[in-house]
Amino acid sequence: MFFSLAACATPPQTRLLLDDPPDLPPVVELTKVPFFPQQQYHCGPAALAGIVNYRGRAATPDEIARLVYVPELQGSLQVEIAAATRHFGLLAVQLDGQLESLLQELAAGNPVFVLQNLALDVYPLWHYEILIGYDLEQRHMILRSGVNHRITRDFALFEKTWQRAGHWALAVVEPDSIPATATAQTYLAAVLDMEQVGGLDSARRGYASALRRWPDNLLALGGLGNTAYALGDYAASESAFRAALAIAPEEAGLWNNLAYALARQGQREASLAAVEQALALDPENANYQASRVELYGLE
Amino acid sequence: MKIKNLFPCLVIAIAVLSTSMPAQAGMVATDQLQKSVIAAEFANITGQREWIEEQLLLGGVAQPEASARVAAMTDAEIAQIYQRIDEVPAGGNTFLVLVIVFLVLELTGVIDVIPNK
Repeated sequence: MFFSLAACATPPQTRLLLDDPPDLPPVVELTKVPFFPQQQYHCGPAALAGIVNYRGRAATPDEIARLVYVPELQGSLQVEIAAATRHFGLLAVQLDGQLESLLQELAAGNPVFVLQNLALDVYPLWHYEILIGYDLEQRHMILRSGVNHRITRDFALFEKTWQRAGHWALAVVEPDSIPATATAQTYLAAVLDMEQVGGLDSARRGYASALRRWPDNLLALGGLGNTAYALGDYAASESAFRAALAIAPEEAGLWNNLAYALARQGQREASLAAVEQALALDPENANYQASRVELYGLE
Repeated sequence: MKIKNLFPCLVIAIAVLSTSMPAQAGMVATDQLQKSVIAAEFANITGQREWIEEQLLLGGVAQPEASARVAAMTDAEIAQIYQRIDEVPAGGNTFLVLVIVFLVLELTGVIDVIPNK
């Protein structure tokens, strides 16, 4: 289209970006992100295919459509985009809604999956796209979008269409790495999601990654203990729970789970001592009471 | 499509339970380990999953995909779209009929209907 944004007010994040440019390369374009032209209404599957293929998973938009597309809605739900990402063993990490964070992710080599509302709040036209780059001089984003292998969109217009979609953006990464702008909370939320749907191996790797960056994180230590246990690696499970207890000896749940990791290794005395510790901290807890009964019978 | 295991921690609990034990014994789930940051427990999550599966079937998704897709969602995701599946965004890029209607708005820079500028 042929219009200028000069007459429009510059939205807040764009103004901030232009007034105080971040310390990032002036131009980034991840040209290796594959492009799959979308069929009508299939922007979700097409965009996700680009991202997962970039991460080395061979998947066509048609295969992904069977995971995310809802014919009557003529589109794909955000929660199913995240679920499909996990299907490929990849973490879908929600970004913080800052324009600058998008640039930081791109500069770190992470294409970003975004939702746009290309119309109005009252009459939305939802559209998924992949951000593959930016140009600080030209003041635009570079995208793979719909049937377009490469389009650009001014920061200001991008910010408006993105804002109308709730600033929704995902970085899609291997469980061995962490997006540049992720916090312990946002990253571990994605790992926990992976664990909850049974992606135990990926989740375990995610918890281990989190601990390399945030060594004392209790959620990551507990998650590592639980996933190692579920995968049958009881020694690793024990050591994760012990590390967590060194930081938070008052957490009864950790003692309970340590008791199971020890019991599985035949360490009956230590196991019983651990479950007694859990009960000493929280005597009324029905779970720990039942655990004690069970552990006395467990070889 | 690979059917995902919905409740890994429940499965662990069952695996280590002898038949006479009360149901609560076993490992505490990761998001319930820290007293200070216990995650929300979702009420009647089974009923919510059934409702969403019905909606996917009504929406034209076939079986067994509909079941597998519901199983691939976390409890929090289920709660996010329960009874709101028609309200939450469904990215799909409608690009035919509305173009003329929005052309005027587009020219003013208020909106951006047509992605291929």
